[in-house]
Amino acid sequence: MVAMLQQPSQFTPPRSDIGVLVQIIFSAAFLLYLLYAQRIQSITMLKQVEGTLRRVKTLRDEGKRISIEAIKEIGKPDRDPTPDVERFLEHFFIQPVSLDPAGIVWKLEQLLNVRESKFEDEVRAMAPGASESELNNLENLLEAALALNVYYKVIRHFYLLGKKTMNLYIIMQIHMLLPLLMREIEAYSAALQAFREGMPIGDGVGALVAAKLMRGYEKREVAKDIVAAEVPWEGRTLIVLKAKGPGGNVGKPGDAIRNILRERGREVKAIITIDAAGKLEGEETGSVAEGIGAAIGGVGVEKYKIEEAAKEYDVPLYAVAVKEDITEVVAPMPPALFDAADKAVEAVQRLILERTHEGDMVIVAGIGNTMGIAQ
Amino acid sequence: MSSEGAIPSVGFPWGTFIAVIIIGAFSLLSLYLGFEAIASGRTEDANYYILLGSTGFAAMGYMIFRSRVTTVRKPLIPRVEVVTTLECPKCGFKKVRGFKRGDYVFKEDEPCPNCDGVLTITRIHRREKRSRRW
Repeated sequence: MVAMLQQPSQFTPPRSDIGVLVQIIFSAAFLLYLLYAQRIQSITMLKQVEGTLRRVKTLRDEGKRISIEAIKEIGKPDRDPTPDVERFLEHFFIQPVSLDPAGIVWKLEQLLNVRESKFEDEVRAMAPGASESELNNLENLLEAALALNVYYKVIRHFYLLGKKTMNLYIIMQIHMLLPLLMREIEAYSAALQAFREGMPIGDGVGALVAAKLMRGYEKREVAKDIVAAEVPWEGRTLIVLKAKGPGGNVGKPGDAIRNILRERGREVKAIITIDAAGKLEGEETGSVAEGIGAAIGGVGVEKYKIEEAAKEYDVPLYAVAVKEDITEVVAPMPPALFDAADKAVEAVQRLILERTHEGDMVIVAGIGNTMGIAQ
Repeated sequence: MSSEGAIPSVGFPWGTFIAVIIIGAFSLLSLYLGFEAIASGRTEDANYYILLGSTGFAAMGYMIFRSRVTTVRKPLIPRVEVVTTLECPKCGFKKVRGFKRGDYVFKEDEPCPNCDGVLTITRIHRREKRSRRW
């Protein structure tokens, strides 16, 4: 220890009082860091998490405030909707048990259907004066506020747990994830404006492509909240489908494709799905890519149904993806994505010409939230 | 104590402010003594004082930077400007205006000022730059 304390003097011999003082200060700092480095690091990280947590709390509160305002303004309720909104924001969803995974998709679907119908009823009760489209938009708005509340509570949990235990590894977990979480939180906060006003969002690009293809043709409802139109094109028959707009809706495209395949059987020679896809850093927003498979997000129930139906009828699945950043998915649609819809239409048409023959029938499914997009 | 209350409230960082004042005063004193030592030819003392003073200023700068990160960055929700483009399918007349609630793509919105057609909404998207914040 004495040798360690004398170490600085090898470089700067303390010939004066101030020299001794400097030596003591630097030795004390060295010892302090040697013994408390981990604690100092924990405190620094906790401070950063705390700053972010305050920010997330404000965003969560804003989400709640905007939801209540929108319900009062659009829904014209008889009483203050604040307690109902607060109750809604605490909703949770229990995933089905996966110990025996056979049949889990149908169990998950049943639970999601119950959740959807409960949310619809609750929003209808909160906003009796709203139209169907407005109810869909309000439901989306409340779900965004609910997501912000969940993010806030999870970050707060790790922050308080870290503070309680001062365990570096608990604090590090949330600290490392914060930049990624903040991107998602900022995306949801940008969604508040879009959902309140009913503006098209980035996720709606697939629905926009389908709307462009089916415009002017007769539509019919082929599954819950999904409309389809038969469009003759280059000697083929395209069955174009999308969620029923212009309210915020994704519908059940899996059911729609299965119903059409049951109806048309082996007449269908290809299924093309178009959806927004998360871009990697460096890729451009609005770039269009083609691939194989079912281009559809979500928990996987609709994707499973599309894949099952395609396999049963032996129909090839093609996908067209429009790339966008995670922060654009639920935010008001940027112009680059609107322009990309035309490029995606061209990609779909090229795929049809390359992969099918005259007289064939093709299902073209525009996937995504159709808020602000009619058909 | 409720869990909400466990998060320190946002306020002026008085602790940091006082620490910065104290360190600043000592750093200034050290620098003054350093320059005085140079003037009187005590080079070794001058080096120590200047080292102390500049270390103090560096610490002060770091503290100000850290407190700025957590307090000055305001947690605001971005509000973007969204525009609606209307086109007349008959004469091609085009009009761009701000988004209004109730607008949607392919909505037949208003009569065309040029012909007897109806202006249809063909595009709704945000402007590239974020204009203002909530």
